[in-house]
Amino acid sequence: MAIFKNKEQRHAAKVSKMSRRQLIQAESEIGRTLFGPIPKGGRREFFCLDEDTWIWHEEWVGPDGKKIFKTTRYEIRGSEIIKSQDGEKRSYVTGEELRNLVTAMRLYYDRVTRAIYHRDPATGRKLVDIL
Amino acid sequence: MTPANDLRGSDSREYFASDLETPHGVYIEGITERMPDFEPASIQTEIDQIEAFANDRTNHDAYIESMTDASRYVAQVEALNAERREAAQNAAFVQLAHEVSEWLTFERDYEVADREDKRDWGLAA
Repeated sequence: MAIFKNKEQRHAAKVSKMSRRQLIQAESEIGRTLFGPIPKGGRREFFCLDEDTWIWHEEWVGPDGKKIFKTTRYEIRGSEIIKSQDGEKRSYVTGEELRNLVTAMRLYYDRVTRAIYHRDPATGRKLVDIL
Repeated sequence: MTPANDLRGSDSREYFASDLETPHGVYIEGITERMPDFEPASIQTEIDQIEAFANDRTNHDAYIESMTDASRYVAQVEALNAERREAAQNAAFVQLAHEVSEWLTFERDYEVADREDKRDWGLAA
């Protein structure tokens, strides 16, 4: 007799054994899919680091065959989101960029909440309870 | 009694009273009833001034200028409204980012803390 009735319960049991770091990695696996395909030889990470910080890391192969890295850190401060890239000057995220970023965050939340924490993103209820 | 053709009569009621027999007498009397201090001479002056204003080219320019000012004002208000709308939208987006981040962090902490609590109490699987 199976201990867990369905796939959702098995998944919930798996998640409950993961460390915080592993959970972030699992979230990033979903986050990296939100911005389209990753170029060959490239790598992408997009995840919520903590309640004030999001990270977008992108790696790709340049024309000379060398790998290029770019890490963007988004900090939510009061009524603004501040972006900093690899030690460059910090800037406010505004307009279309803000809209796209927050849309990505919202999508991330919806998918991660369902797939990893197994909750309904709208109500916060465990999907196992609903099923 | 003031002569009917004297528009400068000081007592307008008396003037109009003498003019009742004209075709417009009754109408004029009605106005006089409502405006006892009304002076016919000042009306003509007003008419002259309005006609002069209407015929004066510079007034046309002033009118157009005033309309341009109005258009400029409307454009400023619209720009301000657009700015406010965008600021409100941006604030709503950032608020959403706050909420999403807090929930995710809470969810993550809950998963880890739940397990740590179980371990602390010797309940971990």
